[in-house]
Amino acid sequence: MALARANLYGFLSTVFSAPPTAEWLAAARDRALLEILGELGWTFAVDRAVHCEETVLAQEELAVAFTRLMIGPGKGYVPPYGSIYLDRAGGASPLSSGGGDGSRRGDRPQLWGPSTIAVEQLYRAAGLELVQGQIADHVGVELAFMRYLCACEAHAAAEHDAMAAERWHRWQIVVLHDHLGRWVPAWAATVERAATHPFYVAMVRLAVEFLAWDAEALSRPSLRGVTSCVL
Amino acid sequence: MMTPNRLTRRDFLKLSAATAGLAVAAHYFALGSAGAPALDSGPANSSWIPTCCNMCGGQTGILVRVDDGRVAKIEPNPDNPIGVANISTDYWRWKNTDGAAMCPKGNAGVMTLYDPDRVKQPLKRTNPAKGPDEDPRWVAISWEEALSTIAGKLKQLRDAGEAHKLIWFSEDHSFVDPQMDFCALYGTPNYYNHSNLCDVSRKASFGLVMGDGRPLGDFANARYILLFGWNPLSATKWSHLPRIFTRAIERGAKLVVVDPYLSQTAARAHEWIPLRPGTDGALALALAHLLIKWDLIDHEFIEKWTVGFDEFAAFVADKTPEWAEQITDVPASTIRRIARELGTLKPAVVDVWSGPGQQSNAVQGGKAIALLNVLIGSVDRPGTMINPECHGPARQAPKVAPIAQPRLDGHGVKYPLSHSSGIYTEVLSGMLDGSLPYQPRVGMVIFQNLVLSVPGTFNVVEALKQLEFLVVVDTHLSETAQLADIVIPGTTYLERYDLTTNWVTWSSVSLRQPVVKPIFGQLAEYEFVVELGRRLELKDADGKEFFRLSPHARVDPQAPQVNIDDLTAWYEDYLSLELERGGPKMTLAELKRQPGACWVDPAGTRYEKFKDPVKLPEGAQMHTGYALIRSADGKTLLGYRDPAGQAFGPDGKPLSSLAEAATDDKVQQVITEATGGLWGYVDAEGTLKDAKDKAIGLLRDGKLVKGWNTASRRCEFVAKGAASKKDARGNLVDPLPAYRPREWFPDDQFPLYLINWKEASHTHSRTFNNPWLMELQGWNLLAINAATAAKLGIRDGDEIWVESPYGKAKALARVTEGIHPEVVGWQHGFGHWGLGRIAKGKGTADGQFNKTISDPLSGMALHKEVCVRVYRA
Repeated sequence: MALARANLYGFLSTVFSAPPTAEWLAAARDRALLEILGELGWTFAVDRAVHCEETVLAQEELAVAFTRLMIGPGKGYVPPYGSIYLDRAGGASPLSSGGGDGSRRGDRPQLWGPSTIAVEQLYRAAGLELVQGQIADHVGVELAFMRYLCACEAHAAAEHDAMAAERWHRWQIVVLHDHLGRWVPAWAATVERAATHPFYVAMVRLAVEFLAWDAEALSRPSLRGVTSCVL
Repeated sequence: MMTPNRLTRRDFLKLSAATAGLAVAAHYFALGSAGAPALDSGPANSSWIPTCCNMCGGQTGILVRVDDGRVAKIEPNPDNPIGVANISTDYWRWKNTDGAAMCPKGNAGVMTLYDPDRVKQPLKRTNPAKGPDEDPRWVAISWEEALSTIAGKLKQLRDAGEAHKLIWFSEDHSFVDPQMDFCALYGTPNYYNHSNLCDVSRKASFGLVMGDGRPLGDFANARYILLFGWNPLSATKWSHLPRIFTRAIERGAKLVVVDPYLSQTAARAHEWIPLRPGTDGALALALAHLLIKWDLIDHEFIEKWTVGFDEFAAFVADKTPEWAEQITDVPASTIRRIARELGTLKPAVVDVWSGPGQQSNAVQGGKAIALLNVLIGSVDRPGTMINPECHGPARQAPKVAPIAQPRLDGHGVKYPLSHSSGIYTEVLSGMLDGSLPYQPRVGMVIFQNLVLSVPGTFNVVEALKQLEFLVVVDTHLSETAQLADIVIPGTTYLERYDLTTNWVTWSSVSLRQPVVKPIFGQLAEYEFVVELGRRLELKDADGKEFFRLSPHARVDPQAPQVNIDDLTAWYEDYLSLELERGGPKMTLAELKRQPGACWVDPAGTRYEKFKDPVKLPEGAQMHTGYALIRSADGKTLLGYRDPAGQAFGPDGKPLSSLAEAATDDKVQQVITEATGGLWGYVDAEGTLKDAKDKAIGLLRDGKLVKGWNTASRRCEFVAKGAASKKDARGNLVDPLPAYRPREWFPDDQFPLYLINWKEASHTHSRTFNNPWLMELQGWNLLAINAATAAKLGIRDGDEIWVESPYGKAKALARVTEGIHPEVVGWQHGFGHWGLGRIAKGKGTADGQFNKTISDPLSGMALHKEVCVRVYRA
């Protein structure tokens, strides 16, 4: 089970880290990804993007859409960083006398807030160093961290190390509860309004669904102690 | 929306299987060196790092607290004079009693560092159409692709023999040297930087008068301060400026501000003198007239240390207060009173900056103002206009073959008193009107927003569209970046190195160093330039790969000729070399260890440096009664002749005959070296010159002294050197500071002067996405005089149209008594359509009402010479 979850976290991390390459689009087509998503109720008019023969054109469409949405800056950019959503209240200016500039008082989105430091400390405590130039609370990074934690849990389970598996399980709860799970819904809601390509609308919906499902599943006692699963 | 329960375990497993293999995420992590994983976090790592602000060009010293790799707080740095005082004795006292100061922009730096609207990755344009309304359809590309593409284009241009068709614009302080090196090695003469958008007219004015383009007033110790068109209490630049004026006032000094607008400085002055824009020079001439008429001048200083006074006195004989009144709209009685105060309260100091400085008669007007200091002897003395000593880092320029192609901007040719930073308007307007000797093809713009910073906003857009390939390096998607083919993410000052020669009156060099690594992993701008240089394999005249070889090795052939591969390490070596060979005479590591990472010359501020002795070489002799032997045309020195008539060559060897027709030039002194070779001479006027006829000093009271860096080595009322030159409009440069009205005057159609200014809240067009600064000042309302507004039926807060022959846009009115009735004005920098979500749509862009034009003498961009009409919307 943990391995399956690792796959999905890794998939989402990939989707939100870079625009799809031609190879990735081909692989998605081969795995009938869209059909499966369709069966689960996620229908969206992206068939042309993944199934269209002119993958190069579609690929550029996705690259432009991804850049606009995830990298920006500019119109349609929705910064995918936890601190934007978690640390706003803490960004009060020394003046705080009410702005004449149209922006709401207290609405000071900023990168690298205290929650960014907190999640980076988690990575370090888990034995990982963030590669220089990455910001710790980027959605792709936090998802990759969840993937790592799930993979560690799966490895521990395979080694029949119930205690270690349980420990990694607890780490996952912390990340979902204090970080990723807390801000992704707000981010996703903004993305749905701003995204120019239905692929990303679908992907954030999937992310929100999965995170909610996973958080709930993690908190259910019956799932604890499951050290092996059949895929 | 589906509920979580909707996703069954089976669904999930199916999805997971489908996505397995599609999880090829970016490699974000490496295995760390930490021990056993534990959920509890340790104590925070906190440190204070000294560096320099760069929210504007002031480079105020700062201390930055970094907690766990995050910038938490910025405070001023009392070990850096910028922010404390510009006189050394004041600095050493006040750094302990008062500490240092920092302006609102410095306080807001953290919000720029962590601005989510920053450019994070290189971006490539996929929509070839360019314009303010075009969506570039950016695609993020890797650094490798960006560098490879840019290097490829540059190589193509150079291989085609067209290296000169690369134009390069940059800011004028940060990492300038490697950019200049790159352009020289690449083979383009077209490196330009920001100064000609700023204060090159002041540089020319003071340069003409005292051979020093960057003098500084010792305001703290003055008793009378007269400022023309300068707002130091708000347009601070250096954060010690407000303090040195308030100290002066505390001690009883009188501050008088001449400005069409009641600036923050004028509001705190004892007296605000409103006048018509661009007429300050006339006011100064009338003041000079009165000072001379009432004999309130410093005779000793004028006689001993100046040239051309009699001509100047005759020239101002008819520049009466009544004459000035009609031009300036300043009452003659006021002019008389100011003249009397200026001439009697001592010490007094007069300064001028960008108010009159950014208008077409700026240079001569500024010269007339600068000369007021000369008339009252307020030169390089306490409480007066100081000639700073700045021994900063020394650029070690590469050896290159001279570039055959001319610069595009007419520097020194079309513009006789221009600055090496060039003339932006000449290049940009020339790209549109076909007047350039050749058309540029590739543009590199680093840390500049040409579109909003150069007058004639939409001309600039059209000009940049002419380029085949444009690269812009910036922290934000400015209006200029939006026209680029590739945008490269820039660094904020908190992420990079620079060296600053502090603009105080004595030598001081401060270090800017990264307090955090570039947060998006981007190359610093200088690393980007060095990397491009490496990919192009740029070589100097000795065939050395300039950007690979260790800079120390390059200048010292005896040193091991090693390369430095790491870009940061290469640049650190480069900086260290500049420090070692410049004023500080220390390595970069040693500078880092200085208190506050700032070197301060213990010698401190010195006065009357014009009396510094000129040292003669060991064994030199001064001879009277000798003569120089010159060629018939007077241009070549053939030797010298002793009183007995014996001729000697320049090497001191006796000459039996002369190869060509020669004339004798009787001089006061001939100076020979120990060998008898000709070292120099003192001419009939008492000017000390070297054997190449270059003026290097003065003979005064029997001593050889340095004087100033002018042709006569004296303060000059009359600019003989400039006299024969023509300006950019084809007019002869007047050797006297004649008042000429500015070129663009109000008329019936456009009856109001439109000016703009700077305040502490913002820098240029740069800071408008910073939420704290926009909270301080979020809009540029147009200030309109109450009486003028009443006539136009405009009330405070009304939406109005502002219109010139070149642009029309809406604005919001601010009705005030604090502006001359014929003038409207606002803060510069607003009106963005790019930069970021906070900046967009706020206020009105001031440059759109103007032509793309410069002052004809110095090439100063004419930001403030605009006429408009305003009416209710």
